[in-house]
Amino acid sequence: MIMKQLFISEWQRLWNRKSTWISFMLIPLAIIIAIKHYIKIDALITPNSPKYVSCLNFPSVILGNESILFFDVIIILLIIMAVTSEYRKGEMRMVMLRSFSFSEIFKVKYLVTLSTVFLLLITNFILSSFLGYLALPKQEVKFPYYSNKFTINESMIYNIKYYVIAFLVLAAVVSVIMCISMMCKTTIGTLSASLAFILVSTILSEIISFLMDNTSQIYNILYFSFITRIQYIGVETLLAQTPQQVGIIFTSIAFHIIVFYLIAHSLFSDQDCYC
Amino acid sequence: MKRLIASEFQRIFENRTNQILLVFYLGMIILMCIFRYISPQGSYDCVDYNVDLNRLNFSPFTFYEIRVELVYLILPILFISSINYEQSIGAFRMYVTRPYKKYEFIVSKWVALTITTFILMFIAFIIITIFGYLFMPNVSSVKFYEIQQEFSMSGALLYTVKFFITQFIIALCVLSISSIIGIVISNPILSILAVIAALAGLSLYIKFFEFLDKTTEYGFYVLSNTASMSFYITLISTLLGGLLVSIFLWQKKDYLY
Repeated sequence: MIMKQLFISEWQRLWNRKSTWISFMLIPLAIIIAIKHYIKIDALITPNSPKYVSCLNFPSVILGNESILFFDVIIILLIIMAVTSEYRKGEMRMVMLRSFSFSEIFKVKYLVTLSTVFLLLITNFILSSFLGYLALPKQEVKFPYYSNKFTINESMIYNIKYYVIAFLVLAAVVSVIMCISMMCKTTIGTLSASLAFILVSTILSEIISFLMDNTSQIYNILYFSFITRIQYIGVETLLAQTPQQVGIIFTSIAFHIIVFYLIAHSLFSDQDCYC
Repeated sequence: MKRLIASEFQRIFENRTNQILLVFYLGMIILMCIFRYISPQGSYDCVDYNVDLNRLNFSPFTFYEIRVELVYLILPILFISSINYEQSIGAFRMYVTRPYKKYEFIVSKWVALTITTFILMFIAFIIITIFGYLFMPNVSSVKFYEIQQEFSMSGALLYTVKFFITQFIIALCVLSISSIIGIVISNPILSILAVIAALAGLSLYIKFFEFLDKTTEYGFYVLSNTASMSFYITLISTLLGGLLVSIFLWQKKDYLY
């Protein structure tokens, strides 16, 4: 009951910020830009090509291609505004005056960020289904790693599954960024460290896939231990006709969520907040 | 003015974030050198990797791997933390009270940041060249993009220096874009993200600004005299326009907070 009030107050503070509203406004913009881009691509290839985008696979394709850049950056923005910026400006003192423990405050911040990401994903799903249905060709297409074409119902189920797994991966990203924001005290430091994390994990996984033998088990473990790699390729391999590397990918996601959550939690509870 | 530049310079290098970014930059340079040492292939157009690397042409092709971190991460953070972040945390108040003209502050920031960018480029040049000379296979002459003549060792070194100078001038475009955005948007976090988004958006969707993403490609074009006139016009107008617009906006802006 007490936690609920804390949750509501955190929620209100989140939605009072302009940056949250800006990130919500950016979703339709990104979808419209993507639709323009895919109409251009579709004009060049036939519907049998796996790269063909119609309104059936548009929600999953747009999430797979933009989730790294767009949602990761929004998560970084939300967490910096909710944690580091409040800590620096002293707004957090107003909450700490009340009879809440540090661990409760941390849990609520985590939950609020997660629920905002959930809302963002739902908005993205609904808007992309709707706008894609209006603008893109309504043809049956092949999904990645499938041999047959999908009907509307099957593609709907596929897209929903895709969004659920993407939400799990984004929860792992939230944990990692939370942990980074606990370690760096300044806003600009947190931003640079999180952007560097995303960039370095992308580049390192590229290098590993370039240099190592693609069939060995160690390669798969290394390859999917990068959270950005799961966002790019992992979700598609999980939802393939014959799912591959299921154990590795889910272990990696769970490892990221739990370990970084615990580190961030202990850092937040230990740190000296009497600033 | 000279002392203002010196103080600006000190603040840039004593910032802890910038120091960590510098260490990160050195680490990335060495990592990319090792990566290119293991797979010695380079490409002119970033699509076909058809150039065999040796000690003379190692540095231009290895710089391609570093430009992503430099253009999209290190430079925007460096520029915004000097132009915008100081105002938002209040450190700017410490020296804005000194008797200087208002435009001198932004000009000194530009000079100090230009020197810093030059130092970053110089570090990359030195480390990559030394790495190439130490570890890569030895050859006596080498060819570069669409130039018939063979380059000897001194010629190749001169080519590399010119190449890095073009990269430095392209990197200054990031400064002009981020100084305009940093003055307009008051929140440092939003302005860094806006700079990165503007760089990506401009280079992807506007043909004239393609060089912001394909920096090394345009470096080769310039040195083989195949760069189009529109590239030079866009480059110079971005630099001059950025400087003039940011001086104008800086003088218009009210700092009575």
